[in-house]
This record gives sequence, structure tokens and C-alpha cells, in this order.
Amino acid sequence: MMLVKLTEKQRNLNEKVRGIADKIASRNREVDEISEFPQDIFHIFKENQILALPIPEKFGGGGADSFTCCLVLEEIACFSPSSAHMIAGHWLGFTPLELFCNQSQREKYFLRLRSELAAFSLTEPAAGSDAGGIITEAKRDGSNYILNGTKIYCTQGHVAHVITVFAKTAPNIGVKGLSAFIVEKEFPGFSVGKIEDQMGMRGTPAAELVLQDCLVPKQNLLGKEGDGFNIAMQTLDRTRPKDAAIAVGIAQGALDYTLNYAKRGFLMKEPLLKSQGVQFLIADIAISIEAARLLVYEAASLIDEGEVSTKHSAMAKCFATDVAMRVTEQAIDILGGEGVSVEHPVEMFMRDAKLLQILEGTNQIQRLIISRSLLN
Amino acid sequence: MYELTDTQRDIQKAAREFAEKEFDLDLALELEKEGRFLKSIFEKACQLGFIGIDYPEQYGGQSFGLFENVLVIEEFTRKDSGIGISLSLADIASSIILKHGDESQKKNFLIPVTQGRAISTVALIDSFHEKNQEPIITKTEAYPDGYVINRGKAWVIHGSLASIIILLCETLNPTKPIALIVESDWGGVNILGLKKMMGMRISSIHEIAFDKVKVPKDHVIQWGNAGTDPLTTYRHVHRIKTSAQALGIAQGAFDHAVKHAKEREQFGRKICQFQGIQFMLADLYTQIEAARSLVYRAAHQYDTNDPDIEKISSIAKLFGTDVAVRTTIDSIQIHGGVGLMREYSIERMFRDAKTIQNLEETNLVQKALIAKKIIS
Repeated sequence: MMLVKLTEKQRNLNEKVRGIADKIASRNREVDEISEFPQDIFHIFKENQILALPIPEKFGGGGADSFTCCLVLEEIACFSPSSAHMIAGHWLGFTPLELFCNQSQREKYFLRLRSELAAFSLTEPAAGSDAGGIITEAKRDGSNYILNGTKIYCTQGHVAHVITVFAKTAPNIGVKGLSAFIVEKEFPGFSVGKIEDQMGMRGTPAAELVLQDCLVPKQNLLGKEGDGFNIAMQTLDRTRPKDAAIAVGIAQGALDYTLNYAKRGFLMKEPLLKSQGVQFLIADIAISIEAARLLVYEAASLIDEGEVSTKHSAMAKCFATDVAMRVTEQAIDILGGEGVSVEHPVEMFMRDAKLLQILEGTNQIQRLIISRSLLN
Repeated sequence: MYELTDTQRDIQKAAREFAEKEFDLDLALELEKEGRFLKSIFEKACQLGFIGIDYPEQYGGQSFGLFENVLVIEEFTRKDSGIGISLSLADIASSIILKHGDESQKKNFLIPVTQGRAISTVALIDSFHEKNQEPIITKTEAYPDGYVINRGKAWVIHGSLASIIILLCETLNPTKPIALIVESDWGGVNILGLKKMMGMRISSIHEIAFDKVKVPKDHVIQWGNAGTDPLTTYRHVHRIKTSAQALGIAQGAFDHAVKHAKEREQFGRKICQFQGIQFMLADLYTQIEAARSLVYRAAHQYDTNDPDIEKISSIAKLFGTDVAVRTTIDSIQIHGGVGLMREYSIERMFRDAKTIQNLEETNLVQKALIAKKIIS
């Protein structure tokens, strides 16, 4: 018996998403070449209510649970990893709002985020793995907070409308002094700096956000002052399985492509797929994808059952993204010279996979989280 | 065994100084973006004797061996993977001429290379998949003991720049394979499209089509005194040179990783003080040292005409390129977000490493060849 059975609704959704993703995939290369956020793809996701999937139904969203969201991301990533990353980036921006908005914040933003892009901005030059290194400040001034500082590596921050920005409201107490703010791109003092030219996920480049006396209404404080770190961690617990789902999709997409293409290939004058070395590689690839998928399903299911597990989310993210990197690499090894050619998508999938091993906590940080939870 | 001599150390040092001075990062990024080889760097490398270091003095060389050539390649790709690879590939036909060419061929096709006036390359025509067409090569009445290349296409490194192209084809003469020197300005030599790959973009690969190209006797390479055929010689040397490129890339990526780990602070200390990073560095260093031993040994065995060269050249290429790929991936990981950005060298080193790992004979092929030798 299968451990995980999809509901009819999930199967239908998957089918719909696959149709969309298959179409979008024709744009992959172009988007990768010019490294520009593809507004057309964004519109397709908007029109098909994919953007709004996790938004509660009473706000006009899809009310989808984490498990369903992971299924959708896996399906899209199978065809177009960068497009899946766009959706995941939006959901990453929405998650802190979903968890911590008060009633009036909900009413103000949930409806909008069905069609406007959200983003999440924690990282700074001195604060990568260590959020305690954040130096962006938020000072209370009457009915506003004034934010000053520079955030980096904010996925699609240059095109997002609503961004959860983390800043310090109290100095010298490390992460306990962090607070989260809902920042809109129109707020005075907000501007976009450098847009990165990155090796993968080039449709969703990371952006620098410059906050220069950026005026944020006090109503836009998420939770209370000092809640920032908790908000970030609770968010990441829920979004890491989604990165992992993208990783599973990438690996599956690479395997599917390789199996299909390898039919035509040769190794030492023998058909490639007759080579036992290749057969064993393919078996290993399939084993690791299936294992990663089940770990993602488990982590997502725990979230949906109200038993969010930091450890499981970290394990899923670490394992699945490592699998995606290894599998895409092995797929290239099977395809050989064609594998490194830009005429085939596998090398792009591999570059996309590499980002996943680093973003939302490097896999070294995931290992730290996992071992800590085992040892404490 | 591989204690370098003083002369070899001097060569290594000179190559390092040349690379440090000439291989500018901004220049490399520009060349990579435009997919352009820089003739002036090649000419300088010729003037200083790095190109052709393994040719006898009477042909413009320095009378060293492949071993010294490997030392130069390692230093070049260590400083810059893209420029280093492009220089190391600028005379890939020479190994054939050195071993099998006659006196006039050596004079005519080695000396111009050492003077920076010519780039030499190899066209490997794969006739295995063809069915019943006219033969690729036939004798011609136009020249006594000459040949005509009736047809054939190949992907050729530096294909649009090389003026000397050695055509190799497995079925030319199965019992006594020969090689044909073709000059690019001859009629019937047509340069077609560019093969765009994920890496190695400074060394462009073009498709070249041969159409009724007549080759006079003095351009036909026989076995000479060598105990092997020209194609086999090319394979051995190319594997070893590829492994040297890989070794340099691995060392370079490792240098960057160590530097970054010693500079970057998170959680109140340098990240090199975390054991997770230390163990990664220890593993990488171990692998690189092992690769270096293999690469040097393979070059030494080539220079000493060791009968085991078939196996050791495959082992060096297999292990060396695998180490390069793994080291570059881990170096990106140690760098975190910065490692993903195109403005630094690391992600390009990874793309270059993955590309040389898979061009021509893939590592699956190497494994098959090694196994064949082991069990024969």
C-alpha cells in the first residue's frame, strides 16, 4: 500500500499545474539567458490562482495546505525550476503574514497577495547564516518606524510589492532585538539596489534593498517588537519543505529528461541504456528521488497536522537539495557532452539546484539544526 | 617520487607569475560573456615559452616533457579556469605531431604555434553511427599517396581560430590508423555553428564540415617510430592535460574557499573555526593531493613511454575531473550566497570543471576503459 495517497482534488490540481508548467518551460532558456523576472509567467500563475493557493479561502485564496503547496511546487519545478522558485518566493513572503498578521493586517494584505508579489528579506552582508548580525535599524518615531540599512539576496525583491523586512528595534541583544515589518515598495525611503547576476534560478534574481529613512507605519509591525527572530524561524520551518519540494521536482525533471534522451545515446559503441553502469546510476537516482520525496511529504504533513517539526523541515531541505544537486550532476554525466550543452535543460537544472543548497539556511545550517535537535 | 626539480619549480613559479599578472578577473568575465579567446594572452604565453614547452628546441620549444606542460596548465587554470583552459587547448594537435610527425611536419606545424602565429586543434570524426554512406576518406588521384576527405563533421575546440586541424577518424584505416593535417584555409573546410555550453566559454567550440578536402602526402601522418596510432596518442595526452586543467581548477577553488573561510565571520567567529567547515576543507585537500599525485604520475609515465599509460591516463582524467567538480561545488557552498554570483570566479570554475569533465570521453567511458584494462 502506498504510504501517501493524493486526494482527487490534489490529483486534478497537479494535472492542471503540469499543463501550465509544460507550457511555461518553453521560456526557460530565454529567461535564463537574460536573467529577468518573467512577468508573463507571473501573470499565468496569477490568473490560474496558483499565487493565491495558500491564502485562506475567506480571503479569496485557495486555502491549500502545505502538502498541496509542495505537490504544486514539485510539479512546476519538474519543468521550470526558476518558475517554481518564483511561487515559493511569493509564498515565503506570505508565510510570516499568514502566521502573525492581526485582523486588520490580514484584511489589508491577504486580498492583495492573491495578485501582488510578496518577498522575504532577512539577509544582510554581515548576516547570512547568523541573523544576529543584522544591523538594519528600525526606530520608532511617532506613528511610524524609520528603517535604515541595506538588505541583500532578497529573492525577487526588486519586483515584489510587499516585503517582510527584518530589522533591529533594540541594539546589543542579538536576535532578541529583531522585529519584522511589512514593507511596501511604495513606502518613502525604500529603493532597490543591485540586482544579482547569479548562476541559477535566473528568472528570480536576488536583489539588494536599500532602506534610507524608510517610513513604515507602526501598524505594519508584525507581531510585537522583538518577535522578529521567532517570526523568521517559524516561517522557515514552514517554507523549507517547499524548497525541498522544488528540489525533488528538479531531480525528477532531470531524470525524466535523461531517460528520454539517453535512448539515443551510446557508450563505447553500445546503446547507453544497455550499460549496466548507467542502469545502476539511474537506479541510484530513482532511489534518492523517492526518498527525498517521502521526506518532503512527511515534513509537509507534520505542518498540516499542527506538529511543525523544525528537525523534519531541515532534514527535508538538506536531503532533497543535496539529492537535486547530485542527481542533476549524474544526469549530466550520463548525457556527457550533450549534458553540458545549453541545448538541453539539465545543466540549467543543476545550476538551479545549487542555489537551493544555500538559500533559506545553507545545508550546513540545516545539519546544525538537525544535530542540535537530536543532542538536546 | 615527485619531488620537483629546481628547474620544474622555476617553471611552476614562472607560470604562476605570468597567470597572476595577465589573467585579470574582469577581463576573464568579459571574455566569458562574449565567448571570446584573447589572442594577445596566447601570444605572450608563446613569447615566454609556456606554449610548446614540451617541444624540442629545434621546433621552437624548450625540450621539456608533458610533465612540465602539466605544471604550467595547473598554474594557469588555478588562477583562472576559463583563460587557463583556453591556453592549454591552443595546441592540442601538437602531441600527435610530436610523436608521429616527420621532420618537415614538425617544422611546419609546431614552430608557427610557438611563435603565436597558429593555433592547432583536432577534429574527431565519429563514423560509428553511420549507415552505408560513401567512405569518409579515400585515396585520391590528385596527389600521389594523398587522400581526399569526402565528407564529415566534427565539433572542434577553437574551431573558428585554429589554422592547423588534425583530422582523426577511427575507421580511416583500422589496422594502421593515420591522421590527416588540414589547413583551415583550404577549400572544402567550412566552419559552421557554435556549440554553446555551460562552461568553457572562452574556448569556443565550432562545428567544422569537411567537403571534398584534398590532403597531399606531406600532410598525412603515419605512425612513425611510435608504437601507437595518432588517435591513441591524442587520447592519452588529452586526458592528462584535461586532468591538469581540473587539478588547477580544484586548487584554485580550494584557495578561494580557504581564504573566504578565514575572512568570513558569523556567530562571532571566523567560519574556518567551525569544524563542519574544517572537515570539508580537510576532505577537499586530501582529494586534491591525491589527484595531484595521479596527474603528475600520469604525465611522468607518458614522458617515459610507460606501457601502462592507457590505464593511468584514464584514471587521472576520471579522478582529477571528479575532484575538480566536487571541490568547486563545495567551494561555492563554503562561500554561501557570494559563491553563486557571476562577478566572482567560483561559479564559473564550477561550470568550467563540469564541462571539461564531460567533453569528449566522459567519465563513464573512462570507467569502462579502466575496467577493460583491469580484467583483460
